[in-house]
Amino acid sequence: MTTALDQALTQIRTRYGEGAIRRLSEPDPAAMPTALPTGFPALDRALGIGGIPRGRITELVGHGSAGQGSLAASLAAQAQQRGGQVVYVDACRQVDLDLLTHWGVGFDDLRVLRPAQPSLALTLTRDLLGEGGADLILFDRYDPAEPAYRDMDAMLAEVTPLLGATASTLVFLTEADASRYPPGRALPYYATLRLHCQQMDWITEGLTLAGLVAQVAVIKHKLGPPGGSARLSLRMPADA
Amino acid sequence: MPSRPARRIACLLIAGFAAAVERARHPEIGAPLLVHEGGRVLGACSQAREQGVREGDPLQGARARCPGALLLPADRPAYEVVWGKLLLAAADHTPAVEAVAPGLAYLDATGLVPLYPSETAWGEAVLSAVQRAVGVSAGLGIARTKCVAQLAAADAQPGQGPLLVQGDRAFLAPRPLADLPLDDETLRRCALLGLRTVGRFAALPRPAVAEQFGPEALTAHDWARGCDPRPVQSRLCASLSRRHSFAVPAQDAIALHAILAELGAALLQNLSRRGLAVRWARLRVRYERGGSESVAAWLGNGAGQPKLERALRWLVDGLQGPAGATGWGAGVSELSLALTGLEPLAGVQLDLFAHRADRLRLEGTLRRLAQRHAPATVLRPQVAVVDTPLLSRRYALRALEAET
Repeated sequence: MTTALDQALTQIRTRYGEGAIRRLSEPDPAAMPTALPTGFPALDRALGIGGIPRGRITELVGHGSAGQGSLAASLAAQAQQRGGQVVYVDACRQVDLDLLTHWGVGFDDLRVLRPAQPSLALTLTRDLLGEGGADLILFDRYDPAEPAYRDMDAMLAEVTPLLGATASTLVFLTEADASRYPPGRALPYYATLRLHCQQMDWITEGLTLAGLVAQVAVIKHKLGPPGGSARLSLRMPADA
Repeated sequence: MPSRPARRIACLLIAGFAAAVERARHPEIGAPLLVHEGGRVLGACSQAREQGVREGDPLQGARARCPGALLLPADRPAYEVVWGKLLLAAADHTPAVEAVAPGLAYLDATGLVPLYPSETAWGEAVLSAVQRAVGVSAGLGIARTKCVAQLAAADAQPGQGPLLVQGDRAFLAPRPLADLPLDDETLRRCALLGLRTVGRFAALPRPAVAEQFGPEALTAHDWARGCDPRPVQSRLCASLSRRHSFAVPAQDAIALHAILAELGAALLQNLSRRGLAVRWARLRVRYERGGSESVAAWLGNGAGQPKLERALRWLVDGLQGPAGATGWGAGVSELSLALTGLEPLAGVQLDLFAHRADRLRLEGTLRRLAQRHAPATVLRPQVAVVDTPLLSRRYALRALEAET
């Protein structure tokens, strides 16, 4: 039997669109974007949605050897394993191809954008998204203290709707300590997910440095529970 | 067009792996066995588990529950050797082995039936290969998903053949909710709501599960409905190795070259049989006077016999010898060759036309970007010199030509 509420719901949907109103017991596809697994089941569990959200901004915050590069490389490999294309925005001009191959990233589906100046990296990223984007865009590396990124606010306001439209996932590798992040920056606001990477220990084999142990903590999560963390063992490429 | 074979995953499970290995090493021991390390139980045999002992329990409590048990200190290197042998034995029957932890591995069993009379025959072949290789009986469960395969493996009696599950959801439905990866609080709340079986939990609407128990319960809910998309990832078992001990220490490079060529050929044969490509060759030598040395060479993809032999010669020529000695001192007493970074030679084909279309679209986009900004802005990475140990020379970034 159709109730008055059902009729009202139908009218609202007819007038304003299919997703305008819904019962909480009905699934909302827009609220739960699909996730790109990180390659670390423990971290995927901590994230609650099985990985980083596709079509959104994720920020990996950390200082120096905190495992952001390895985590980003693992994400790239996971995206490629699912048939995705990866674009690496090499703003600091230090892309580590050996690290990427170590984590299983193939060169056929990888392109590197290397701007002449760091400030152009944001423009390139926006242009790329304006043209359709790529499955995963890794932005290496954002320094909140760098004057070149003062237009970040405007750029993110443009980029965020493009991400949703193109289903591209944008991951920023940020060189900063989460507790001493300069105030007033736009990225923490626009990011759907923020992960803080911190080096806990080195892994050694005899006298050889073999990798590091990193603690990855979820410091912001719009789609799942914040506060989770995972401890990752990240192996470095063996030296030749 | 031939249809794609249905996904099948096998789980190889040896409960109390350390105890099972010790039992195989000392078959004369009849008493219950507890292997301990750092004051905790590392492995408990089936008799001890029946008395309530679990891995990770404090040793004192375990002894109280199982007073007649024989305590053995853990010998981790030995367990790792046995585990490595076991994985190699299993890998002879499947293209992908994912080693999760000693005693637990997943095998890709998709599309193997044409090679074996039946899925049961394949499972029995795996189990007998494992038994022959390490003398330990394992449980094997075969299902469509990892979750169900593991539960089936736990149900399967070691030595009784594989347990096949055809309908994952039906298999899960009557099982207790504790079989799912739910935390204690969620289990308690489910019990209060009268949800005691996986089937009842699976019948809940997904949004209701997210609202009632949080998004972390959604994974368990998906599994309860038979949806566990996790693939078998063979990266953790990505090395093959062979070892040779010299009765008389080798004094010159010629002897080492000859032995290494033999070991390399055997390993490459193993690789091609499994459809794998190798990326690194690692050589480790042990000197008669004491001390060892380890060197590695990058091989790139698709290394054949000549390329591997060249790399091995380069490695042998680069050996420094033991500290404080000239040359190799009293000679090399043992060498081992490991091929690491193994990956499938042919990748998994996900969607031929969609992938190609995406790649072409992105290529066009990037060419337009190169035109708009500068040709050197958009770069294509490639391997430049495969054999060089210098990273700066190994890779190159080539500019993508701007669209004309």
